[in-house]
Amino acid sequence: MKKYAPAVIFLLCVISIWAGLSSGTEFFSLSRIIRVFAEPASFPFERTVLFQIRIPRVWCAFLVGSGLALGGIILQAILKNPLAESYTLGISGGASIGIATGIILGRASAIPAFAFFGSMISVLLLLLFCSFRKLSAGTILLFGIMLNFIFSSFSLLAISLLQQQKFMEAVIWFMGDLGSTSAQILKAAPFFLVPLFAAAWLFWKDLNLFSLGDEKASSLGLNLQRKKFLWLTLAALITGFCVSLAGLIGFVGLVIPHITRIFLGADHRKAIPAAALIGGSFLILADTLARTLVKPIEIPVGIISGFFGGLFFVFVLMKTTRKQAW
Amino acid sequence: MVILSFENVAAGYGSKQVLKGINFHINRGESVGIVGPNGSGKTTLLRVIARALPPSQGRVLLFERNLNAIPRTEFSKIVSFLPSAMEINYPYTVREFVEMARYPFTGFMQRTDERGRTIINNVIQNFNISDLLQKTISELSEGEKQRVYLAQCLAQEPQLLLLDEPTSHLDIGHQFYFLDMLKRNQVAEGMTVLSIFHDLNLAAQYCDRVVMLNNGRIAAIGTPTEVLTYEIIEAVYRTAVLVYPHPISGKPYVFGIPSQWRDRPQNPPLDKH
Repeated sequence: MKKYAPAVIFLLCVISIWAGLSSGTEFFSLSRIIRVFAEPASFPFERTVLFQIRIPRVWCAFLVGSGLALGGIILQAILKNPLAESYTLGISGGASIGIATGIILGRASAIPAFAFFGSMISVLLLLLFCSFRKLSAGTILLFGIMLNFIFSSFSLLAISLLQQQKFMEAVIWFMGDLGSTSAQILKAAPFFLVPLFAAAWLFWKDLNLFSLGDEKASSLGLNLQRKKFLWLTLAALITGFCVSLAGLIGFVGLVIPHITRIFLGADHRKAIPAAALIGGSFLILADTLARTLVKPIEIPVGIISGFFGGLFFVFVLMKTTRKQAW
Repeated sequence: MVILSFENVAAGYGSKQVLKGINFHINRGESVGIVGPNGSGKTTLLRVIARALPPSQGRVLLFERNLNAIPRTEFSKIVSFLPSAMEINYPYTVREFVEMARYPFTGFMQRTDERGRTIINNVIQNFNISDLLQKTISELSEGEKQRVYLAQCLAQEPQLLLLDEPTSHLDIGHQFYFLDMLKRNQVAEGMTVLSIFHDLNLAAQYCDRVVMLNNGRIAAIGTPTEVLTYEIIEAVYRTAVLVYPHPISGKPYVFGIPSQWRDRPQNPPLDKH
């Protein structure tokens, strides 16, 4: 399995991008897509659909999927817990408060920024809480889950007091939507995300050490307290940005890291780039299904990724209990 | 030559002092066992040396330098620590796991350097783990796991090795296999070993000196024959024991006595050593 992993992942990326670009209200064959790229002037309709709708959407899905997967793999390693992800650490709760604030203030274009700052606030609270006492990973996780409950209650309260139209807007943000991210943010996104991805990959050894447990990690030269802070911040920046791109999309951050480890092993030197690529392609595929399954209605992507991804993951878990520890 | 010394050290968690007034030193190349009842501060003592817990009072010197002032990466090239109950949930292969010992020695993207590869190959040979290299840690048996954990510690080329009850989950065959292997490597590398033992008899057979802790203080320190006497053991562990010399090694061997056999005149005379 491990030997063919690079080829399989590459194939997965290619297939998902092809699927994402060709399907929609009207199916585009591969040759048609190539011709549009070759001579865009002679296919005005296809050009508009591809460049204005499908490419931004595939690109957004890829960025968000890879970012959430990477955030998950970081959080699971530093907290040594299979359930750690941005959504169990209060990051999504913080983002939802930000989104609710943005909607109440009626600043639709500023909602991404509000979402980002909301998730940063919850991470700051988490870090503050960590700095008071030396805490076990389990306690940090519980604190995060509680933070999420408190924040979500607040934002749901705020939303439930809204009128019809704003209510729908909020629901779309809370269920995740890859189609309405602004083009400027999408163009700027790599400048923000790529350095963060690179930083994570550059320090892959830290994550390997973290996953051995605190005592072993520190005896192998890891400065636990400082590194925990830095990695939490890194994971929060990545997931916070993803939330601001597409709203709340669950599942990817939790499950893609597990799938990556099952098929490729745990070594983070391979697992970090692999999880990013698998997460990205997975979300493209999920979004493609969400757009095309019940045309012309669009199913929220979180429903598709949760349902099919969940089924797939249960199947994988049943097949691999021997090697899979957790 | 003194490698590690404790000067009036106290340490604990929060307001609870677990260790109090600890004074002792360890010489280079020595094998020292830490024994004592549950909750006497054995693991806390080891955690202080491993820098998982800073002392609240006094100081610990490693090669005459204040332990907590040594930079982390330098420290990890001198001291290796095998905590008790290591739990590796991640599916690392044995090779990946052992290679982690070389992280303090290499740069960003490097797993190991030339020298590291030589050392890892030696360790693989020494510990007879070449058949396990492609397995994941969770696939190993308890005995294999402990062997791989020790191999990783030695791949770190430590001058001081700290072990927390390394043999407590092993059967008697694996216990002796493990400790023999440790002894062989210790002699070959001139390494200093400081190990917690639950089993007094294993400590007696394998250690040059024994530190006995009781309620966070040193109750006795010296050679196994000096420390493992029935008076000391009965006072510290609050139970009745017999101590005889091991018929082959001549080291003390401790027998516990179930209460139904105590104070019965018809039992063999208490020929106490």
